Amino acid sequence: MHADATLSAQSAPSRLRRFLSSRHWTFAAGCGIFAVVLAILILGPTVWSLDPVKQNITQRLDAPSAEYWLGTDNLGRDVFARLVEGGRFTVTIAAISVAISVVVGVLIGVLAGRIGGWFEEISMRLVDLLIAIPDTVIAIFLVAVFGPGYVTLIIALTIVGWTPYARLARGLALQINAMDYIRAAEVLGMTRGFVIFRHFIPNLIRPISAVTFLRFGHKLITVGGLSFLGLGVQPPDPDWGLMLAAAQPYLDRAPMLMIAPGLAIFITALSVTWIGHGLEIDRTTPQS
Amino acid sequence: MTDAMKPLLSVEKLTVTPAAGGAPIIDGLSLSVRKGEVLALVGESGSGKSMTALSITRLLPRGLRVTGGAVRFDGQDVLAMDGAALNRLRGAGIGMLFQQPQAMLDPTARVRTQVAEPLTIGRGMPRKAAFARVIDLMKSVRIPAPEVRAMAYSHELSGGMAQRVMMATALAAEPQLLIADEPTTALDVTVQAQILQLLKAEQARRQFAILLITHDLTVVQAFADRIAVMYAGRIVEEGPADEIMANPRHPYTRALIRCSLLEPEADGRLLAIPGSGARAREIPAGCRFAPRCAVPGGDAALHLACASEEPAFTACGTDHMVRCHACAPHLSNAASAA
Repeated sequence: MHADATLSAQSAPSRLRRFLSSRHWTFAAGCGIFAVVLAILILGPTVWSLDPVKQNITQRLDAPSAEYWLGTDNLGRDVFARLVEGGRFTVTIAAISVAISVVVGVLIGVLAGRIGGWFEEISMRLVDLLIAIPDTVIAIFLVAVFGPGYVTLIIALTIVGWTPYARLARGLALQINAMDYIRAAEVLGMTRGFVIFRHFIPNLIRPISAVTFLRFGHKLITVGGLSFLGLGVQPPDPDWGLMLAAAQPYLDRAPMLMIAPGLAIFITALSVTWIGHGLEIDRTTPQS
Repeated sequence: MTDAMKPLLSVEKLTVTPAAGGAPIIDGLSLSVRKGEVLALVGESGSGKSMTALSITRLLPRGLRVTGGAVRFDGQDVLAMDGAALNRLRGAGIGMLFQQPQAMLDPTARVRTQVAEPLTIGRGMPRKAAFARVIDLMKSVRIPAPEVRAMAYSHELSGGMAQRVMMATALAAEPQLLIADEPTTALDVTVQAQILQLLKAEQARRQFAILLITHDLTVVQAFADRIAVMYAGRIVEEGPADEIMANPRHPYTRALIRCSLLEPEADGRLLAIPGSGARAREIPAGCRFAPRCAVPGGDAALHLACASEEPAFTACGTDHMVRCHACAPHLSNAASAA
């Protein structure tokens, strides 16, 4: 009795510490790195007054200096400014497509698992169909039809993006559906919608959020890749993938031009992947 | 007929069959619970007790279907209800308690949120008022330090405490009938008695009816007004609790009573009913209990009757019904006819 009294009275910071200590160190590291990346991307432009498109023809392909922390590119533009601005595009696009994918996928998956019948059959066969198509192929098709742009990019990433969440959410919904607390809610005459939002969604959040972060890392790389191929963000807007592509001819004279966006993609993707892994694996519960 | 005599719940010839086809798991089961009455439905695992409870609230798992009979609650036809009427029935008419109380609580919500749900969601009570009511309810089921427990999560509760929380949740809805499906089986022996006493006290105070499902006849004696004994999907004996315990007529009931008393037999061993409960697929042609029954002994006529013809549910004494050839006055007729 005393034990659970103290448990409930536990303060928020100690809960957080307990949570962190139950994770691998990479989880905390991932959170830290990702927080720093986000802070730079969000606050950077206001703190440093960066201009990513201002050209300075006299200072082309400069090495890093006090004025240009990461040097300048072939048009004399500030690489650091472009890195921050490009990161805003890349991360935002990846985040929007992941967010839409999660919402759509989880809703469809939960409904499929909970309601079953023809809805489950149709939605899951659709998942089987879409999951086999790489999003690059869809992006190429959509760009051919609608032309390149952010919206096209987001749609291309989302069309296939929701499928893994739907599949996972359906599997989890089937498990949750077998739980006694769902019976308890039904016994109390709770409505279908209430049961789904009160009981299914909260119990899905842990496993879904782990996969979300893992896939978010993957999406960052895909966004970069598509922009690199010219299917995503269009110049003069910067983007990490686009910066990589533009840096190619100058690799020998200004390696920082390629190293900077490459490292940015790598570090960001690594940090969210670590977060995802950390959420997935709890060190304090024995693994089967 | 006075109001007290009118059945609150009446189940008539209920038959539940697997959707895929096959033999029914509940076969023509009838029982009734009057207002404020405690009926114990007793039987061993697999006899169909829990499925009976689930069909009363239309919560049968996907693979099972009611294929016959009627369930009436407070005059309404439960089997004909649409979704909204069913939610009202479950919300305010019939409450349920189950065997694994901890698993009945959502691990992601605080206790008070869940206990309050019948009030906030079911009746649109404001959260603040509902939470205050939750504390009252938790006090009435004797949860110590209810303010602290209200903020706890299910994994922070012991089994007995979780069952009290479930009781508070069920009482929040103010049901007229509480179906308790083995509510104490998963709990410590010391806690079992507390929970049952509490249930009985609340029942006396609030005057709701209870359908107690159990396999433990010792539990039943002090608790129930009436007892219905179930075997292989059918009621085999029914009557007032004292009468059944003092004068059990069906050999299965007698064996159950002797088993639950845990008294050693003459040879010092504990009694076990030979064989196992008849499965739906292997229902014998005659009496369902015949393969495990020792009563006919050397009586050839009785043997024949038991093996060939299922006994009818007949009266044997006041308000005492039994389904057994050996107890039936017409046995001689049946035997001679065969």
